Amino acid sequence: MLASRFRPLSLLAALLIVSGGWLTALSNARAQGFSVYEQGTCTMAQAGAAVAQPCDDGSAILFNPAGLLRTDDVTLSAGATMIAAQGSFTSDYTRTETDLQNDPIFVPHVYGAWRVSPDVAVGLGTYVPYGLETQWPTNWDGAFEGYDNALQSIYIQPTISVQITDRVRLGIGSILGISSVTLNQRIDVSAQTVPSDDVPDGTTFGNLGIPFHTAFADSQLDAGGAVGFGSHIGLQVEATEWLDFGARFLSPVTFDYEGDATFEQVSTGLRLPNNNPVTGQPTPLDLVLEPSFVEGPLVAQTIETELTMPAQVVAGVSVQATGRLQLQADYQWTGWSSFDTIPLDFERDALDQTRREGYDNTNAVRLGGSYEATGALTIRAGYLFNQAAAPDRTVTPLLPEADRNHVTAGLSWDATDAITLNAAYQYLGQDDRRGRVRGARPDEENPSAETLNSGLYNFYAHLIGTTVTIHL
Amino acid sequence: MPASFSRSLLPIRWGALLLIGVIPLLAGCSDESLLASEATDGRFQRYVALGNSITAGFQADGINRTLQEQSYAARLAGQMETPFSLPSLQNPGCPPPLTSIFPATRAAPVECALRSPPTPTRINNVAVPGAWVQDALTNSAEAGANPNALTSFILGGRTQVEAAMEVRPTFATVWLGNNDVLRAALAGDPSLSTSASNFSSRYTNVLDSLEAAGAEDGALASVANVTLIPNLSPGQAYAAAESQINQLGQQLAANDGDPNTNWGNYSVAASCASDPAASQSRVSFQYGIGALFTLALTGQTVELDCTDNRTLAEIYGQGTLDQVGIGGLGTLSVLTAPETQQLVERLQTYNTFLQSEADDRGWAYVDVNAALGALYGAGTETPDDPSDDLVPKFPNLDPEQPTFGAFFSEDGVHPSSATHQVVTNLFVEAINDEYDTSLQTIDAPDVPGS
Repeated sequence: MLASRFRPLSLLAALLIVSGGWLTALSNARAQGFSVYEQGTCTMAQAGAAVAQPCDDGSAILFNPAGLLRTDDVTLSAGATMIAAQGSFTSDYTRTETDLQNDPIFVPHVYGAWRVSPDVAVGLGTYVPYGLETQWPTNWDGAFEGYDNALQSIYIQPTISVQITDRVRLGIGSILGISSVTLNQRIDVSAQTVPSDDVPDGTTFGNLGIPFHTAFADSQLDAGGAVGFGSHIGLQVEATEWLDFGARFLSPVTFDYEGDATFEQVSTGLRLPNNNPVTGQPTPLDLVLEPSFVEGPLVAQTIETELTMPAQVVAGVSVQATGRLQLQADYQWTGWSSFDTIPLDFERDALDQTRREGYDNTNAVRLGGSYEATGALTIRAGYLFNQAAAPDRTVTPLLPEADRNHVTAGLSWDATDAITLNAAYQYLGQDDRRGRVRGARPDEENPSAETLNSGLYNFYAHLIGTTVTIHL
Repeated sequence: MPASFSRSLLPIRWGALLLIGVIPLLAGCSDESLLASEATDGRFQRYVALGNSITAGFQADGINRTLQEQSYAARLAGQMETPFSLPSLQNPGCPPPLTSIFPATRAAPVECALRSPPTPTRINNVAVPGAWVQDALTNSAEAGANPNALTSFILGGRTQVEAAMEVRPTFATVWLGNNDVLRAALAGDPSLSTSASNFSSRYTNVLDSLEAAGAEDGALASVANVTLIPNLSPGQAYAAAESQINQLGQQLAANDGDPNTNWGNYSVAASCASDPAASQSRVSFQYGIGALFTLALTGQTVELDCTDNRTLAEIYGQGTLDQVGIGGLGTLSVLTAPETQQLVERLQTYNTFLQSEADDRGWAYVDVNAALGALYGAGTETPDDPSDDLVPKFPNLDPEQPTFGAFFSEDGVHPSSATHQVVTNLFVEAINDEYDTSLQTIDAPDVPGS
């Protein structure tokens, strides 16, 4: 009896060892990017480990479409996760610490499922698998990379799940994605070309002595309503009464954005001296720059860009360790290499640029468990490790990420036969990581990460999720 | 405890074990060691240098990246093993340095080669050639500053203090005040110097600002005795060189080929040969050679009188000066012996104040005048043989030789790279004395008697 109890645990341990070895072998790969996995409180409470045995709240639409057959009749769930992120950047040189200024973010999710027959279930889910928001002060160096940035991709996914054999289930969903992106940043006049024939071609204001990171403009790039399409497929296999396997594939979704770029002049407070090569006489620098905002490249204009939300592949195992205890382990691969470059195609071609992100594909391991304490109360906990998608050269104010460890805890309470309340807490602890607050300067050819990175990013977050599920 | 209840707790124990195992990982790796390493001595973590042309690295009436890297401030930062970013000016310079002052020839025929790309993310040497003490606080001429093109090329619209504060300095060196007396000395007009009260109040503002920005430690350098620079010759040197001047003038006129070039006569009044004017008056190169020699080359008879403090325009008429292309020198006059004494007393007052400020603030005080005096004095024990003077009392007009010796650059005002090495060690020794640090001195020429 004792041996049979520990057999599942031994298998789970073996899986962990295999997963760990895989991660070690793939140590050059990175992790999470701006993925938001906390799209269902029941699953969040067990660190997202759910692909082999999703919760019965309809969130299987995301965590494994095949698992939708776990629901009975009609199931409706709605909830949100509050993400309270905190972080800072400490400059190598000045040791000045600049704090992230994010307000708590609420990420909603809604799922509906209908068990059409014993072998078929359908559902519709709305969730936000990718999103980020970072807010920094405008008066620090990193504001030139972006100080108020937001990206969200809402996926609407109709899904069907079918019992293929007694032990195999298949789920398929199609995805309609809607995405928006906002980027606010300061623009550095020292990097701008001097509008004068009296200086050699390519002379910048920096060559005239204007200090590095002197803001002369505030730019806002705002594009919303981009639509993309994708698919989601999941498979679930019941190997034994106590052992289940699951896997899912979420396809990449590409969004073509069209939006507006606006530029507002910021006073530099600087004066060009007498005999300067631009005007020849003492002149406020702002006056020299003003025409750019009236008839030059910095007039309001349209902008187009393209982003691809990455694919996800998740495989996992679920072990019913005892009558009340279920343990799960997931391995996740995310195709972040699709987030390689961000082409910014302005109406005025002079502003066109390509932001090189160079993200790497990532790996994550999720371990979770649930324990049915009473008939109405289930306790959950979990642990998650994920690598960072951003390479050393792209740890920026936009997303200063690093390898992360998370722990989660939560509970489900069946308030009535029809209503289940879920609550969960997740702590996200991120490794400190060196990063940058600037891009390459004019005449600085392809600087290395060691050259660019000038300080240390610190980041952590508290997440609280709640979901109400109604079983009709 | 009932056996069934005990069994039901078993999974919880496993879960607890799992959590205990991962909890140490929760906080992630908080690791400040990932921050770039500090200077060997944290006191020098962020060093900023304020000053004027000497600190900036200006030599031979020019400045470029090579010269900036040879300034004492850059060398001192090297001894501190602390990052030190320069506002690099591209070679050949802005302006390119003189290769010869007589006749004036520069390394390249450009006015300013602009700043070197890429723009540095910060600058540690915020010194600006031509800066007076007031220039550290404001760029406004209306407020008493003396900004020039290099003020903009180096500071980009900020003041020295503003630029220094951006570095959040932990240590600062300040060598300001030379121009507060130098301009007066070169012009021969002590009234152009900064009053002692203005000097002290402005300097106090500079130091207060630096301390408020975090520079709790630093070093102040004394105002150099500008009457000892080789650009300013004592009257007796001109008296001794009178025949040499006339010979040279006649040669130049004969070889020139221009019919308008006729050597007139250059005489040196007896006043220049007798004390106190002989040793205490000062004749600038621009006055004695740039103006009088040029006038003599146009056939005029000129006389250098070391007791006459009238301006060139008053003596020869501005129209005459304009006619020979030296109208800009019209305001120059001889610095007479009493005027020299007046200036020396003023800078001594400055330095008394500076030493007191350094003491009060616990900063190092660097007395540059002991070394400068030793340099000036070397060779004077053989007055009939000026060749062994380390600081020539009369400019060497041989185009094959440095005009002002090995310790001063070709403008006769600014120290040469060799002297910057000497000055570096003066700072090193003063800082070590004050803070009990162990900065190493650098290889530098010997200064006899210092």
